Amino acid sequence: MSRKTYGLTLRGLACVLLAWQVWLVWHLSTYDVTAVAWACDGEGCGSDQFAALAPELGIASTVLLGFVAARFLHRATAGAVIALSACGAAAGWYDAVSDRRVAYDTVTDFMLVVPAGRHTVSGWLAFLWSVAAAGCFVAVWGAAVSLRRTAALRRLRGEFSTAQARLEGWRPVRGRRGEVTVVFHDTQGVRHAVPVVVDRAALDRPVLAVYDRSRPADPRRTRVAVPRRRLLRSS
Amino acid sequence: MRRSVTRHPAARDFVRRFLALDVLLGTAVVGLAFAALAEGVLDGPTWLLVVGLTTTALALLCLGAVAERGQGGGVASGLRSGGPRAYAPAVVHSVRAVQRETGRLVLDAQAADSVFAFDLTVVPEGRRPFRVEVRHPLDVQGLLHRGRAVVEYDPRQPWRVVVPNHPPGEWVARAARLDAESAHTAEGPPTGVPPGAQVLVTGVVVAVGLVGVLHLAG
Repeated sequence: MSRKTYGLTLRGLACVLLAWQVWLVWHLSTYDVTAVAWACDGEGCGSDQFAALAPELGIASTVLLGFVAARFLHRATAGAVIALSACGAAAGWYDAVSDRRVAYDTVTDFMLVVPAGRHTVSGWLAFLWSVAAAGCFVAVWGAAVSLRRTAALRRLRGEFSTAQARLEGWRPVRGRRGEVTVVFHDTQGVRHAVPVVVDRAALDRPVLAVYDRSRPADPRRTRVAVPRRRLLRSS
Repeated sequence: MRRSVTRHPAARDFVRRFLALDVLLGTAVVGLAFAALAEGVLDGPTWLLVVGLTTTALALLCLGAVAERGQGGGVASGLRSGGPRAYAPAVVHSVRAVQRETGRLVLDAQAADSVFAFDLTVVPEGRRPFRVEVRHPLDVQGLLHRGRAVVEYDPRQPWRVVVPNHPPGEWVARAARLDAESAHTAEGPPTGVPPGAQVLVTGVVVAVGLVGVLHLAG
């Protein structure tokens, strides 16, 4: 196992643990919502039970999971973690109903940092499911953008190789896309200069050329992949 | 115990490297995190499970970052400033150009992030020869074309080896006289464990011990 694979495996394990925590905390925040005893005085309401600060803890865990999982999920991260949190909270409501803690028409409030109003359990479920659906949509769209930009699916295929490349020239074709010449060396050390059409975002960034090993100079089989830009050193 | 450890310098180095302060601290933190997670899963309160999950995830993240960033696995570290150092002759097995971060071979030695990786067997005085990989951005001492090198190493921490630019003339002569037979070791090219792997394994062992003690004690 190379160092990089070992490091990525550890990071994947950390993601799994954090995803478990996100699900656990959000599930608890709705499952125990009727069991929390609030003590209100003149300044506000407080409680010393764990479920009382579960929503804040849930938001913090979700943000942490987002930072850690960004290495794997790229642009799909935000949608995916929001969908996970919403599903965890919805699962908590369903478990509370099946354990007879609440009924579908019980009116209850749900402190999401600030009181978000009093609604029936069905209303909360509808809200959570729409948040989950929106999160899934954003995640799928982000995944499609990232897959296309990094040419990940193409790189997984056996007959394609990757090489560090340089872009030269720019001729606008349509909108943000333009034609450039990508210069790279293949595995035999032969230099190729192939015209391809890329998005404007590929300029001024380190890029990779993804080419067919048997036909490296064919413009129809060669693509430019833009690796993910690192925001933080640790990601 | 003491006599058998000093008779085997490799074991002594392993113990000494293990007892370094940062390794001990890392092992303690990892062990406590895993123990909290295990206790929280087995029969603990929910807050302990959440604390265990968070700390274990952060510990795994740090260990993963150390493994990806660090140089370990048979690659020599630099010398300590102000630490003891000594020269030694070495046999050059191969020189390759690798990427600085990943250690993979590169075709273009002029690329910006490539360094030379020298696969050497160092023959120090009074110790057994050991094999190590030393990285340097330049072809120091012309080792691409030579079979012998002079290295500077730390006698107390022999995993710290560098190839100096201009070694003293008498050491160069001594290296030229070095017999390939005396540099024979049973080791192959350095592969090694990723850095931080021993901290992870020891931490898990410590955690298992802690949880076992807690459950046995009732």
